[in-house]
Amino acid sequence: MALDSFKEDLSNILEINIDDLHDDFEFDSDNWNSLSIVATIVAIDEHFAIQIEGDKLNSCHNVLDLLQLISYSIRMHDKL
Amino acid sequence: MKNKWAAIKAITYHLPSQKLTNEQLAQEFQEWGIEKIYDKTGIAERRVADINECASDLGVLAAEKLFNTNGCTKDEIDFLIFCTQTPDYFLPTSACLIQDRLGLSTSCGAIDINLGCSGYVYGLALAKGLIETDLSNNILLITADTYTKLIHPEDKSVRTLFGDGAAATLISGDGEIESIGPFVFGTDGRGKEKLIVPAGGFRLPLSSETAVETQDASGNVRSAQNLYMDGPEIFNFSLREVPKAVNQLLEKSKLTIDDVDYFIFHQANKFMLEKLRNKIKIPLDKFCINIETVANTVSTSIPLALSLDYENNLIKKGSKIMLVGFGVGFSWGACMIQVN
Repeated sequence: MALDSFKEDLSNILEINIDDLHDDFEFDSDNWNSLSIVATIVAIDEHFAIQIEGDKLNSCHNVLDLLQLISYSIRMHDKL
Repeated sequence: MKNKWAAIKAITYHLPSQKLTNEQLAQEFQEWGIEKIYDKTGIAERRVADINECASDLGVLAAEKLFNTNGCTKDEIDFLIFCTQTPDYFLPTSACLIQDRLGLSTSCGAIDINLGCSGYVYGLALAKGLIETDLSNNILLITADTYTKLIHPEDKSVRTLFGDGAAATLISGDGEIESIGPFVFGTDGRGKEKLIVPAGGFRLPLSSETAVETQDASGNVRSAQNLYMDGPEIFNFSLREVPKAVNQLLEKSKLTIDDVDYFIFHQANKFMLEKLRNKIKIPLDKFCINIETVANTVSTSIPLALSLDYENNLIKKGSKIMLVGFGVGFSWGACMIQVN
């Protein structure tokens, strides 16, 4: 549920249709900039109650990178 | 012996006359439309100090309004606290210059405090401490900054957000009840590089190297002599610490969100304020967003919002108000006040 809601928010942040949000959707400087990263930080906090550094988000190249980073961060957070 | 209680007696403000509108910014930054700037920040225009106008000048004008309209005489002020990060000089202390400019008594104490967006809450805490320990009776707390002077003109990441301004608050020791406090404070210096002007102090003095301009991935230009803000990390910090501080203060005050009449957070930008309100679950009608025509005025944002909302009858006498300041440092603080 949280993942579905997050993906909906992410498609709005990237300004694309949710149906186009595939794992291989590539980030570029137009859709993945400081404004979209800030909005993604807020969405991750809202849906998963964790925080991920902006630099780590900035290093994601596509949706799959981002989802894997979130998954890894949730596991690390749960271990604390 | 009867307790002596500090109370806020009056707040006045002064904004410089020059405006920077979204229309002007959209002409300079072609990739950003007028609507986009407004949608992302909630800001339509900012006030900008003149090239020869310092924070102390704005502060003096705010204080003069206070003396002109609120019946307090200059002779009655026995302590001046000036909160700024854009002082006239390294030394002397700007508060000393303001004491002279305002014609305050020479028996008046005067100090500067160097804090940004948390500064008003810390200023109130110092004022309360001085008054309630009977070291002072009438304190003039001035907040003022000219952050626009620190910003590179080609750095849209901060130029869209910050505006200049000043506020003057009179805090006196004749309160009938405890109307300022309790407080909670927080500091995390690990965030020092997330909002910073790296050069110009003694750690990194001005030089030809510090004047070299670079362009970041988003096309923003700045040198080490300009303001740098890591927006994503400021958001992470705010989402992490502000809700905690609010809950700590509610617990310390033995209050719930329902018991608080109004919340005034540091007016950083509309997007951040809405996300914080949503996370903390504060009702919309109890939450101040007053940024559209003044932008983020750093330590002045809370007293300015308080004053504007009071003028607009959004705050009633006797209201219990929570103030929350947070930002550069990282530094944060929250307190309860009651407006009488």
